[in-house]
Amino acid sequence: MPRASRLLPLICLLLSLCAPALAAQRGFFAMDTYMAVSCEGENAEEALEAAEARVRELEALWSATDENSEIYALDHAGGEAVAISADTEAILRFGAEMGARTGGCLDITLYPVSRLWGFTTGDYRVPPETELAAALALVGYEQLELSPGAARLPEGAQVDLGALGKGWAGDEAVAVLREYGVTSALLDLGGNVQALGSKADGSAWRVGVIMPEDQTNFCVLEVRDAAVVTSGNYERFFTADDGAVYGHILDPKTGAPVENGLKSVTIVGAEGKKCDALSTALFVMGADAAIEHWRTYRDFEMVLLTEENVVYITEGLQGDFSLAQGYEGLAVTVVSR
Amino acid sequence: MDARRLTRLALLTAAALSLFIVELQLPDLFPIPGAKLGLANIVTVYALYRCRAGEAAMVLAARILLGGLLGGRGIAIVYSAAGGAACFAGMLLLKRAIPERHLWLASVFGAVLHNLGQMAVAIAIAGTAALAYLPFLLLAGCAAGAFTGLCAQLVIHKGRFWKL
Amino acid sequence: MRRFSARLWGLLAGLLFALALAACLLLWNAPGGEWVAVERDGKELFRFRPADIEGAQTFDVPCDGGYNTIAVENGEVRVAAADCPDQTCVKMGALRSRALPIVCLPHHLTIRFVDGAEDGGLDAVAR
Repeated sequence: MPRASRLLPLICLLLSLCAPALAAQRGFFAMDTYMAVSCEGENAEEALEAAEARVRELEALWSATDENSEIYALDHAGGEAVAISADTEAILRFGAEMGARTGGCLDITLYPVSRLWGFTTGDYRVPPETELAAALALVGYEQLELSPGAARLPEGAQVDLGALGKGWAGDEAVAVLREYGVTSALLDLGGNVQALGSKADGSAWRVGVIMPEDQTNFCVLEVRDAAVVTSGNYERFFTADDGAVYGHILDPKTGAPVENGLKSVTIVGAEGKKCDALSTALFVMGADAAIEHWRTYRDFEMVLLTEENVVYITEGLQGDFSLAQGYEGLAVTVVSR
Repeated sequence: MDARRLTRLALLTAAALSLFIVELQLPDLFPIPGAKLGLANIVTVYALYRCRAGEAAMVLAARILLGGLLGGRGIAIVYSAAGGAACFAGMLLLKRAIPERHLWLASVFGAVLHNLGQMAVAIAIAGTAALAYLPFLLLAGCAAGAFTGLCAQLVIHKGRFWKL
Repeated sequence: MRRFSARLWGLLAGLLFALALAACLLLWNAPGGEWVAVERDGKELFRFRPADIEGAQTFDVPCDGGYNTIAVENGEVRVAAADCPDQTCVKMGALRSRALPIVCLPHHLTIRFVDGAEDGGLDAVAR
């Protein structure tokens, strides 16, 4: 063993040369989660600082609970129009677009209902039918009126960008990093993974997808310049007094937690915002409708995981998808056009 | 059960409960989850040595239940019930081996058993991560057990008025 | 019944105390780690590297009707405030040893050092 121990520093040196450490990393708490960004580049430190600042700027605009945010102002305007920034106008427009595209499976005006369930405060409860019906009557992204620089909601209706904000912020952060000349970066925004370029050595980023029960990852996706966003009812849920488990992703049509045999939906695409929106919407839709949606639009790839641990992947992922160690036995069906 | 016994048990329960409430008002001595002085155990230890086993058990059970209700924290009842049961069962045996003169020693072992009972609940609730606090809990338990045991000894030897 | 030996029982108690003390010292002085995980009921909410965090930052972890505020400063992690009844998590101070997680029993919250960022040579995990 003495020889091996003398070799150890050398081995370490070689290893460190093979896999150069990322030039800079930064972590921060924003948008109710933890975000970590690592990147490589000449101005890496400045780039990270600017990216964090940009995310915080958006958080300040969009927080549903911060009384100084534009979304808070919109939600509490009592039916009046409020002035909004270009950023807010753009994300609201996008939210309405995605609502139309997914047949209302994503609805940014679902806030009154999720508040009723306590998912916004952690004060969980199963709302009575009558309350649910009243809250549901306020929901509908079509009611949002947008004009340049202003937005209006009917009284009582409320917007929440929870299903979009992190994805949008990720895209903005990537854009900031690019401006600073960063060519390789990895962002983990509370579980939304966004990759800029490839790893410094030119290989693809290896991104795992979580298996909710045991916190391991069941598959690995190799991606470049892409966002990977997963949605599932395992993220936040509560067990009611009657023993039933209720998840935080609600169906905008019924106002009840989604229960359709899906465990998680993972979207891979160029834009974080679209991945974020679609991961929620397609989870609400269920497997069959999600596959139909993919066949119609073809502007993203996806991994579906069902309650029975059956995996569906779209054909565009075929070369970049592999099952993780310990999950080699899962049945994988490739969905084609 | 005659009125004398009943009155005595009621008095002991009231004393235990008072000590329990007084301790709730005091700041925590140990910054460890679940660790406290356990003043009410002075009464438990006294009852164990001076009353029948069943009577002592009644005093303990009444104190835990009422204390839990007055303390206002649901989960705390589970902890003190598990700890109390483990401590009580163990001390019934220890009582045969350790004479009243060395009661404080029995109290130390009782406190340790109390900690083990609490820890079992903590592991069931929070997972094995809680286990790391066992040594700290034991350390505090040893100290608190010796203290309450000595108090009980004082009560037994000086407190003639306790014997109704 | 055997004769009671105060010395024997005293020794036993002393031994127990000494063992607990030794274990405490060992746990107290165990090394920390690079990554910190925040878990509820054994399920990881998120993990982070205190060294990556610039300046002082706080973060509210909400739970059923309550919260714990985690503060990170100079690589040190602590619970700065919480609305749990016992406040033990706050009194525990900074996370200092791998063997000693900060535990908030009423909120079922655990903050502890963990190994490495991800497993299996992954760069990130979508969750």
